Amino acid sequence: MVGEIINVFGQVLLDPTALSLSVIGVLSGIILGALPGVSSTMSLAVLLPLSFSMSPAHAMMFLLGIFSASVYGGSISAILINIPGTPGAIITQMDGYPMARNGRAGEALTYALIASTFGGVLGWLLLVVFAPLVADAALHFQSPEYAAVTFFGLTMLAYATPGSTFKALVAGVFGLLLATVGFDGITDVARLDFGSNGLQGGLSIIPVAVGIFGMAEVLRNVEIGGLKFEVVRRIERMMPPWKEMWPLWPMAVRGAVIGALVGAIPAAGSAIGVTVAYAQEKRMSKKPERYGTGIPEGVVAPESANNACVGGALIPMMTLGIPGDSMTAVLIGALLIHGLRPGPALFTDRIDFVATVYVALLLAILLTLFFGLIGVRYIARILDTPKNVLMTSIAILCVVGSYAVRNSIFDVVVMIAFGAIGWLMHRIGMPVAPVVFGLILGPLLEENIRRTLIVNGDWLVFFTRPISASLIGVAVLALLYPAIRDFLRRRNQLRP
Amino acid sequence: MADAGAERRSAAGDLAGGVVLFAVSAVGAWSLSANRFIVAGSYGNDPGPGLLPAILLALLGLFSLAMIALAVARLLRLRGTRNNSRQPRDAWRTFLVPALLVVTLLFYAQSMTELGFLETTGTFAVFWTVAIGMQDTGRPDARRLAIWLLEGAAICAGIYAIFAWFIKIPLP
Repeated sequence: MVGEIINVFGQVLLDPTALSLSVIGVLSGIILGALPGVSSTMSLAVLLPLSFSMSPAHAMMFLLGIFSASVYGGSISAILINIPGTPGAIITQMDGYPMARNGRAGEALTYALIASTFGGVLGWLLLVVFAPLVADAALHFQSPEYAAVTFFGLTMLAYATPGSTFKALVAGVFGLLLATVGFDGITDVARLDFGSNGLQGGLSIIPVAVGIFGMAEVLRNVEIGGLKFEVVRRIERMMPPWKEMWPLWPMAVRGAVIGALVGAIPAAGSAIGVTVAYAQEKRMSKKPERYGTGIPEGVVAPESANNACVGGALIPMMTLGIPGDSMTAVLIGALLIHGLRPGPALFTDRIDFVATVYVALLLAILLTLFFGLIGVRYIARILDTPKNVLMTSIAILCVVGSYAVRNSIFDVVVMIAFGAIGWLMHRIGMPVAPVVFGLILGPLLEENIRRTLIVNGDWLVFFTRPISASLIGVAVLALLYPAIRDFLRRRNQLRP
Repeated sequence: MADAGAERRSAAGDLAGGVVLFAVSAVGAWSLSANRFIVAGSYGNDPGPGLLPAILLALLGLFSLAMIALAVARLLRLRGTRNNSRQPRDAWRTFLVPALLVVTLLFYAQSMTELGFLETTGTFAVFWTVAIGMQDTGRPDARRLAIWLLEGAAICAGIYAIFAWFIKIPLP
């Protein structure tokens, strides 16, 4: 594998198109990630259609550039205007903004950049080491194990999605139901199509993802008018003192390990990773009361975790075809468009493509460091981009992007409908990512359950095979855990 | 209780969401039961194409009923409590601009193939650049209006250039 990575790295360095696409992806990712109201997932969903005409390798250079760089970009607005550009930067603002207000904006941005790079590289290393091992194990899976893994992924999704577990579960079931619309893959019988030709072909992932992650955010942004930000414009010294920076490396390591592990849990996402990393550092600190007042420690740990999540989230996506977070859900859509189905077979049939993904991610991390160091002062200026220009452009990109999938107006209407559905779901506090996860995992779940039943003729087989039984057991425990925890807490409170 | 008004709005939202999801599951169940090919698709050990949709529709129906019951219980618990924060009387107005955007998007999408990409996209871009600009900064003077109009036209031209010329995707 190392030889393949070096080989692909050499090819990329000699391919000006690949390099340019990576640079464009990274710059777009930093800029869009930095803009308040434009999340990383939204950036990826909106720019995804630009990759349709590219080769799969070039598409990955471009998309992973956006993916990785937008995570760092989110910290720029968190530090300079106290609004996280991405959900993963939600903790960075707690110390980053006070640092900026205290005249240390440049240093806070550099801390965020270096921690991001460190976390990103460590997450990348974990991806390179563990993904082949997981894929190797997954190669021995048969239909019952696959069905159990998918069920496990969906359950983790409901358990780990921030907010109400119950609402996440409802949204996941709704997403799975959407996946059953149209022709059945085994018998070619159309279901839930209401006689519509468009629905008979099934709901394509891209219009749904663009609607739910892109258009819904536009609708949320236009809901409230007159939003004004107070931007910290004075960025003076960029480099923090070495004496202050050096002792922070253990935090960056701990943050990265936590981020990568949390990122690898299907659907957990960076917001949970950064919260856990920050809480861990605060608990270990001798002066926890200083957190939140503008200290570098409060920037380093969450930023390292935030970027390590990227590598972590790619592990279940690449090896099992299960999205690690909402961005990898969009990436799965991109791979499917290019005729590639993520899963263990990629590691045997398309090892060159796997190596391309590794190289694309590493290159994106290094380019983010480069552009962050030389260009953050200029990138910060785009925080002044007028909302009317931004939102109108994104709305049109959503329309054109959905149309470009199959040159179909039906897909555009689907995108608009899911934009409205996503916006209404936000209004009632129902997470939207499970809908897309359900849509992606639905066909896998159905196909493997039915294959298992066709071959074995009995549901009991799911509980007699050790891997599927363990996964189903853990999934059921995860679902029941909140109820068990509440019951135990109530019982302890009643004790004299 | 911190804010009875917000709690009441949240419960009402859950109630509406539960009702919509129940309607979805009911319509889906009707569609599935009326589909005579579903039973024909089941043979041998294969439970057929109706199995997963039926399970999911049943789950969605149960979950939506639970959502409705929980929301009604919350609303009943809040009955008689006074809102201890300023209630936005015109909360419905927050629906107006997004609803208008959805309607114009549908018109834009439907007319794109009839009237052409540049014409419809230009109109949409100019309209929404001005509308969101006015929403943010109020009534514009002539100079600002001219800037918004130019920005709208530039957005349309830029997107057309990227898709039609740069990545060569055929647009209507």
